[in-house]
Amino acid sequence: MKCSQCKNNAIVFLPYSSKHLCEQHFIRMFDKRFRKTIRLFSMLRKGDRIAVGLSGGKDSCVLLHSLHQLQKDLPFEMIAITIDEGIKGYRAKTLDIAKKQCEILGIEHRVFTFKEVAGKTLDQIEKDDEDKLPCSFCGVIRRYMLNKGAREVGANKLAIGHNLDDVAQTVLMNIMRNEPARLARFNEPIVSDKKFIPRIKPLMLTPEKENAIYAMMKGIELERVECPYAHFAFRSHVRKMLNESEERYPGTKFKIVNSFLEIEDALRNKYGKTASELGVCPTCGEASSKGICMFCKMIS
Amino acid sequence: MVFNGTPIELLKKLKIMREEVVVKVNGKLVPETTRLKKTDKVEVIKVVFGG
Ligand SMILES: [Zn+2]
Ligand SMILES: [Zn+2]
Repeated sequence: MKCSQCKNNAIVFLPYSSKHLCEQHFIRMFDKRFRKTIRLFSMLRKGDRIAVGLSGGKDSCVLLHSLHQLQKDLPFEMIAITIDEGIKGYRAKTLDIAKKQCEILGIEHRVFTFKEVAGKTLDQIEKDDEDKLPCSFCGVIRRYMLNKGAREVGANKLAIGHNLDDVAQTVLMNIMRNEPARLARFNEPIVSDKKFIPRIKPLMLTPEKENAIYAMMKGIELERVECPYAHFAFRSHVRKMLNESEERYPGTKFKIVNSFLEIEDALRNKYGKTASELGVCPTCGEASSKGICMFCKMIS
Repeated sequence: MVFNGTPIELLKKLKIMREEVVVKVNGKLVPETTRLKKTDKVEVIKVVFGG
């Protein structure tokens, strides 16, 4: 099969655009879309100091690579931060990959452990009280610690590796759970705030599978990351549903995310409250929508 | 296993979701629309994980 744009052999077929692409044209399309996403949402400015949430999974590694590449054209600072949740056997391999990627690219890297923030490990909390762990546990912890870490390294923005699949899943999940107010807050505008570091998602229009292909081409190790706590049941269900739909009706994920982007202003008008209008947790002093924050509730 | 068709058809037959894997033929990435030959060695690599 030939590339749709040149005479070379194609290495990938993209059903949503009916295109066959060679390695060179795939990378060109990928990089172009990455830059376009950043421009579209004004994610980066000259002189920004960006903390990159680097889990060591393929998405965050690709994010690091692509941002590093962009630094050649746009002067901004970058520092990678990794959260070590302290789940046995979960982080060891990806932490290695994260370290290695930063060494290769010459990027400063900081690791924040759950234990130094909470005073105990996740596995210890799990042992203390099995019922206490809500299904959003790791999500809450990561969000909290990444925000705190980004502030500690003096960043004014936090870049995370959420891809098109993640965003489409989150949109659908919020609809299926009837949580329009949460959906309204999901893709917050970039507003600086003392407590809450605004997040940017430069890969939000990149399908997860393409991140994997790009990672393979750039020699990034693909490590299986599956959290041992079985609390992703609903997201897994939605992921499966979406992937089945995408197979039968290519472009579904883009369509879901695009509709969300079309209506998010209206949602925000209706449900109000941006992160900068949130209150503060009386226990830890971090941003919190009402009273004691989720993180403090979980670790108490 | 001998299979006559494309990786898309192969994945369908094996009930593997196309969106969650990358297919290599003889060690190289190929479009999943490529017709497979009898002597081809096909690798299906899972790239999407839960959590
Ligand atoms: Zn080409
Ligand atoms: Zn708190």
